[in-house]
Amino acid sequence: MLFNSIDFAIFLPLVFLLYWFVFQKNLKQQNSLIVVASYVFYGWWDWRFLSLILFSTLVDFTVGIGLSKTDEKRKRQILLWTSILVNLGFLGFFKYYNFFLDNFQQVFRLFGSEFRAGSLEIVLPVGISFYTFQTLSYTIDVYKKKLEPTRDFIGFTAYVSFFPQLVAGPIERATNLLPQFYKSRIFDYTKAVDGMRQILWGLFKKVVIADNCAQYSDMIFNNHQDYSGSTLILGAIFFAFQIYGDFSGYSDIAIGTSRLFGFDLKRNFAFPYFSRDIAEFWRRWHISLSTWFRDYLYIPLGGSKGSKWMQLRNTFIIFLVSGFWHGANWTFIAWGLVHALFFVPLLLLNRNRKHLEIVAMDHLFPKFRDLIGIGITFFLVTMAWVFFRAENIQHALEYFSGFTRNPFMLPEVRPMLVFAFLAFFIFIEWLGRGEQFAIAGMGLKWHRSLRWSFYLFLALVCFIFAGQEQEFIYFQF
Amino acid sequence: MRNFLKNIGTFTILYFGIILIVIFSLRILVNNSKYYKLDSEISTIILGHSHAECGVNDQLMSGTMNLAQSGEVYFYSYLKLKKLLDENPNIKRVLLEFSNNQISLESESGLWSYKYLNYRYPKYSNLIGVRGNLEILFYGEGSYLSLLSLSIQEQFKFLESDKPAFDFFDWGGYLKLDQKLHIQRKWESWKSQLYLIPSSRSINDFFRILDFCLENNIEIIVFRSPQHRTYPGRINEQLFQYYIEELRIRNINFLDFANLDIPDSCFADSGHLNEYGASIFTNELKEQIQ
Repeated sequence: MLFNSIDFAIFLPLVFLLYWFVFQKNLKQQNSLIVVASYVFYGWWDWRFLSLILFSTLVDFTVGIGLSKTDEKRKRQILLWTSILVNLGFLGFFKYYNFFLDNFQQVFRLFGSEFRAGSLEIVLPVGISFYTFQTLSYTIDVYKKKLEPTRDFIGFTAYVSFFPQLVAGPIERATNLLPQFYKSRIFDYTKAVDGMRQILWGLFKKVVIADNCAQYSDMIFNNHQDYSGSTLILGAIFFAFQIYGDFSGYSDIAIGTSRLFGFDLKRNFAFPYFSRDIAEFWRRWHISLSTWFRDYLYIPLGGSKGSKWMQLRNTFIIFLVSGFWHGANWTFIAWGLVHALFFVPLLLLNRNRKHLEIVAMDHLFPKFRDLIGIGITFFLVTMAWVFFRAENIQHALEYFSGFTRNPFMLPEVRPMLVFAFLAFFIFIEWLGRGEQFAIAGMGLKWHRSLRWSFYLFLALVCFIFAGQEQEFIYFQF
Repeated sequence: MRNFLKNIGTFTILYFGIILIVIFSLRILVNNSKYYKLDSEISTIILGHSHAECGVNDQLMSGTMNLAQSGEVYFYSYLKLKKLLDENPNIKRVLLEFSNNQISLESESGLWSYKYLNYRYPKYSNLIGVRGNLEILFYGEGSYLSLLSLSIQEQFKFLESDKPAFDFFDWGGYLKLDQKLHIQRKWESWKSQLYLIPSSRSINDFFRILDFCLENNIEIIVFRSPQHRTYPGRINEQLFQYYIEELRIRNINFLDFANLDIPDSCFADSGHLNEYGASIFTNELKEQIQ
């Protein structure tokens, strides 16, 4: 079920009313409703894959109980690896089987021999990369004794399948989300209204920004040989806004929806395109994934302790794995590699933790130096998106080589309405950059009629100027 | 909670109220007669799908306008016809394409599929009534809200352009094909299977057009464009003949050019005529009508 569909517009109020009016007095019933609603939400797409989520849930719940019963290191390790192998096994099979097979075959062919194995017609279960990481975080935290294993199966099932963030995150940690299922929840007006505002802003990002940019980025990327260099650069910029609007919009809707039910999810985006260097960008982009990799991969590898060589090695590993997490294609690995290369100079010069505060806080305009930093970072990130968007490496290289075709002429594609939306979007995001999301604090002190007019304006723009409906990009991951 | 629900309810009513006002205002503005006036010399219009679109060169038939379009189902042809007849009393005759692939269940994809809805709905949304909208809401693929939104955008652009509706919304017209015969021998089995099942929807819409013309004293001539002998769409010929019989019972003229004796060089593919073929067929059609 898509967030921007009529199905969801009916589903959400229905679940909301049942949750607060029918099952309000009983926590177990509320959690059970969340489980049922989440399974319906997911099954709407393909009910067959519900068995995968259920199996993952059962394995990790059992492993958690098992870990609580033993202190023996070897037994605990076996339990941990069972969970890791089952979860990553599913992920590996559904997401990477054909990729590895194709590459093995190519390597064998390179050495003059033939490796025969048929590729499979595998349907990738939506959200598998997200819920796999979420359940893994539970097992690892229980193993490390950072978290008490749960004996509440319904609560745990609700944690794994919680519908607002099931298919595209934010990837929640058990330490943050799971305890919220144990506590009784009381309706909080301020939280719910805040949630609605975040949903509205998320919808605006998705249907106005992302879907409108998608039409042009698709057109330019799919026919790149027909366009001048300036148009190709514009196409990459459109894609940069498409993917940001699409993914952060989804996260906003997920977080906002959770707030309607009394839950607080982790922040996933913190205005990444206002970053002054790549390190800051990665502290602000897909935060739930980058912190997951930081805590469960980078730090266990040694993190930033040890020699510069070790730090570089760990940096490359984390970026390459992060790229590969996005999809079974060399383009994602290239995207990760490019980001690692952008990161290296900052690491070598010890400047990777330079910009920790919000840019130009308490000022309307940034300093010139910050503005240059933002511009350069956005340019680098946009160039890296070309790999991310391209069908294959060849496509990406051809796209880059097209930059030299009349790079200074006026682009052939000039959708003025989309430019106007982007200008409005950047302006609002800039004004709200100190908040959790751009319109979180906007208009709170305005007169009610003005505030409502602003929200109505946004909602109407979402309806009237919605781009052609597109699936969320991150569903494929 | 009560406050929250009250505010959300008020907001929703306001929101949908404004949207309804926008939709109805646009409908009134876009339906203005001035956008639907054809040249006063036009007394015949041609409706149908790609066979007629590529087959009849209206430049060779004075007083005629070809408004057939590729993949168009009778649902849209009816809407178009109704509006044009309302606004153009000079139209006295309608030539309606009736071919094998227009009565099959497979043809309904032209009505319900995501691809065609996104393309066609915005062109005709101002002419579609409540019932048609409800059908599209329930049976159409993809998001109905997205269709409404696309339509509003198109209608804004239309009003800004000040062009005639049939021009701005591209309601069809003669399409010149240059290519030489490319034979399509058979279809995928799924297509063939769907093809043999009649579409009650398409057939009802077809007869609705006929009834509408008869009620309004408009001469209606049904025709089938030339088909190459290899045209795979003939597989439902038996079914097709059943409806031809129905036309005879109703006393409606049917001109069948499917087996017109023309060389292969007239065809662009098995079902469509190229420019040369269109010129021959148009003259033949003209003669037959006269």
